[in-house]
Amino acid sequence: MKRSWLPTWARGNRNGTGEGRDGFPFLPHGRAMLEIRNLKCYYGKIQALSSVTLSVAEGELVALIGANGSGKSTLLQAVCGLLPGWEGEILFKGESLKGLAPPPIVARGISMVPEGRLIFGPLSVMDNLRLGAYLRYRQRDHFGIRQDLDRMFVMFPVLAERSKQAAGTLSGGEQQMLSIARALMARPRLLLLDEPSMGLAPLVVKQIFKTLAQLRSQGLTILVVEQNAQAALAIAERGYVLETGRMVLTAGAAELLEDEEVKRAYLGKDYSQFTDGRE
Amino acid sequence: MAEQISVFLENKAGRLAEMARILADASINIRALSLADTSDFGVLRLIVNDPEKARTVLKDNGFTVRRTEVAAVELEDRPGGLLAVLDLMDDAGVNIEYMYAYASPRGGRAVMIFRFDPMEKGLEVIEKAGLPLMEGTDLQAW
Amino acid sequence: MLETDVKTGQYMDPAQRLQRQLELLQATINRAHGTVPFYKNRFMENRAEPSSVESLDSIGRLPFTYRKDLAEHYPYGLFAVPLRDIVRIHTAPGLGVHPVVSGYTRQDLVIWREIATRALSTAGLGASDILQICLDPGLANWGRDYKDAAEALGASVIPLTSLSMEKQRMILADYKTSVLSTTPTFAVQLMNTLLASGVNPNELALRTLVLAGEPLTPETRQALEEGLHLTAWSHYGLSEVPGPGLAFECEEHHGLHLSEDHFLAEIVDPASGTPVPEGEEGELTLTTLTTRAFPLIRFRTGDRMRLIPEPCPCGRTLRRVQWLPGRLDDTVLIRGVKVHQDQILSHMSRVLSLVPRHFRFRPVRGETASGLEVWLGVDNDVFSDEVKILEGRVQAVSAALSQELGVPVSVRLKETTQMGPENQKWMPEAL
Repeated sequence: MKRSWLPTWARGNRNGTGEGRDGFPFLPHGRAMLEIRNLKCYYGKIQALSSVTLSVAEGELVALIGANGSGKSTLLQAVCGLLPGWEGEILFKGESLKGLAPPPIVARGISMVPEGRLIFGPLSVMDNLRLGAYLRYRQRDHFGIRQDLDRMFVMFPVLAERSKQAAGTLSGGEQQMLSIARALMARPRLLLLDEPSMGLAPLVVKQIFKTLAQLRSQGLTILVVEQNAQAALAIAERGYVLETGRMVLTAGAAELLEDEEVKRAYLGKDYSQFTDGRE
Repeated sequence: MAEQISVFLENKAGRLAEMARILADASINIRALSLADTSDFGVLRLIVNDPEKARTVLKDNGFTVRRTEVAAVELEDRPGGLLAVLDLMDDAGVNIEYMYAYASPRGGRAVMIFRFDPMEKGLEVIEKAGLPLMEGTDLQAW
Repeated sequence: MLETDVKTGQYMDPAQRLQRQLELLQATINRAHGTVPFYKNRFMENRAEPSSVESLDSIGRLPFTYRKDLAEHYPYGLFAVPLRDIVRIHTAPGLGVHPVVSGYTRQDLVIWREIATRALSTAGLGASDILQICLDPGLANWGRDYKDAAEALGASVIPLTSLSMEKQRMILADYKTSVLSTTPTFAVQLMNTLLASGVNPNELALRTLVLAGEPLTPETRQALEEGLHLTAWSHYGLSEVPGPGLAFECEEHHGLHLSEDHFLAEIVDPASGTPVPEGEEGELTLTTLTTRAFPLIRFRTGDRMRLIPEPCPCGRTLRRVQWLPGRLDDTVLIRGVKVHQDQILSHMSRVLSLVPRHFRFRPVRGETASGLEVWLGVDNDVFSDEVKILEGRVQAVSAALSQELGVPVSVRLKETTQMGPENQKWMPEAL
């Protein structure tokens, strides 16, 4: 891994164990799982992201909040390989994701729950879930997949009830659960969520985020991108605030919830304007 | 009125002597002298025979010098002469900032140098009392 | 910031810390550029593009901020948040007539209290302690921050400023103070007073000294620890954006750990502004990382320091600096308060209604007291024939300076030829 950006004293180990980065003893949050440095993306002439730096350590739940058009979704797309022309650095478990297409990125352990769910309407719930594990089918991990399907049905009982129904007939909240479960079927190390609360009623949002908190407590690393700052920060440990493609604030989630400017800009809003009439 | 020169001196050994030497070297004659001092510094007041020259030569040597106009009053050379003036000023509400004696070579005359506050009023009182005021040139001539 | 962050902040993996510092730095720069006209203009004048800072090293692309910039933008020119978010305003003497005004949001206060708290708790301060604070009015805000931090640790606090040496001594003995917070100079003077009056140090409850405001030399530390039978801990802080504990000693007492989770530190060559090789001495330059109301970008502190490259045995991964005596800007430390020539001149001019042409300054450090001596040269403008007027001027200037600077000032009138070399306005310290 290129480490020239570190000053001399931090390159190599400092505790004499002869190990590299993995040997550092001081890892309160676990090692760095996702590191983004100076990410720049353009939509034609418009710069959507301007030197954005962010990180998620193992086991953390991190929230990235910002208004519409701030570039949050663009960032997730870059991580997943859905945005070809980005500049800067994106490292997953120390290895660069530059130039990789989505399938190898999923194979490394990153799963995305996209904005708007994007589940396959005509297919059954069960089939949607199976599709989430397609890479593992290719590895012939049938037993593991069976186990995970059972786990998903335990975690999301409503999906068990409707496992044979066409996914398009589910409610918005149920579809969101399906989308998350599908992403989990790939057994990711890092789960990315793009606006999971979008278009959902407050009670459902609460349920979704409770689920995410549960997943985190089970050891999953999560980066959630949200306009609903309140819900996201309530379960996150740390947060980042993006404003028109620039990072303007990062701090502990509790601190951000108390921050006056965050409160004014992102908290206490009426979110019905964002539900688009769905649900 | 008469011209007095005031010099600022630090209360340090040798400053006064240094100043006196400079005046002596320039053949300046000191007629009257008063030193008002604090623990740190002093203001030396001088009546000399050539105030202009004294000022120049002291300034050239780095001393800070000011000219001040003072009243040189000829008192009656008897007990109570000074008291009379003081009482007059008191009655008129004029303050005496400072005063000192002038060495008069003429027998029987005592000349006192005064700085009044306010100066004009003090001079008025002196004139009204008919006391002789000496001009600078008179002093220098002695 | 939660309690866990306080702990992890000190012991965080260095590579992770660098990532976090970069994140915080870029956010700070974006915010400062976006909301503080001073920084926006500065960047523009220097053709510095905020998004060009892509690594901690490339912060060198941004211009420096100097103390005089802070004073010039009185009162609110450097605030990055709306006034309604400011919950505390702090003023420190500026270089000219105007003081430097800084402010805090509620969150800033929480952060500062945590910084001071961890510095104090590292020095061993706990719930059973009684902390006595002896800091000059010029450092009053540090007293307040130490008080808040000590109270957060459950200790009792005796906050004092400007009491006579005698009173401090009495309270120390009678109230069973266990921890004293003051400047090294004052500590030595207090010790001399105590010993001179026959007090046996073992009879005092005092076991810890928290020393701030000036570097602590090894000789002074030894004198204090042996003379008073206690442990001394050195702290460093800024007076403009207070407060104390910005860098603090650990139990190794070898250098001060910088709060690198809240500040980015550079050591630069004071003349050229370029970073010095690691381990060499230079001027400490600080960039705030978590401060909201009053961000500072590449602030030249004027303090002489060198980085200690080796990791500390205590396990903290916050890097250490060695605080060296002597200052690198034109200010002088008097009882921990920074005093600049321009400051003194502007107050003198105001009081005298003229600009003095001849002046000298001298810090005075005595056995039991210290302060500033100002020499005023008596030229034709200053001179008066009447002693009472001259004395009045001495009085007025020393009273005004003592009040404005927060340290004792004495004024002496001097002949203009007796003042020493013209180009040496600051005379060496008198003892």
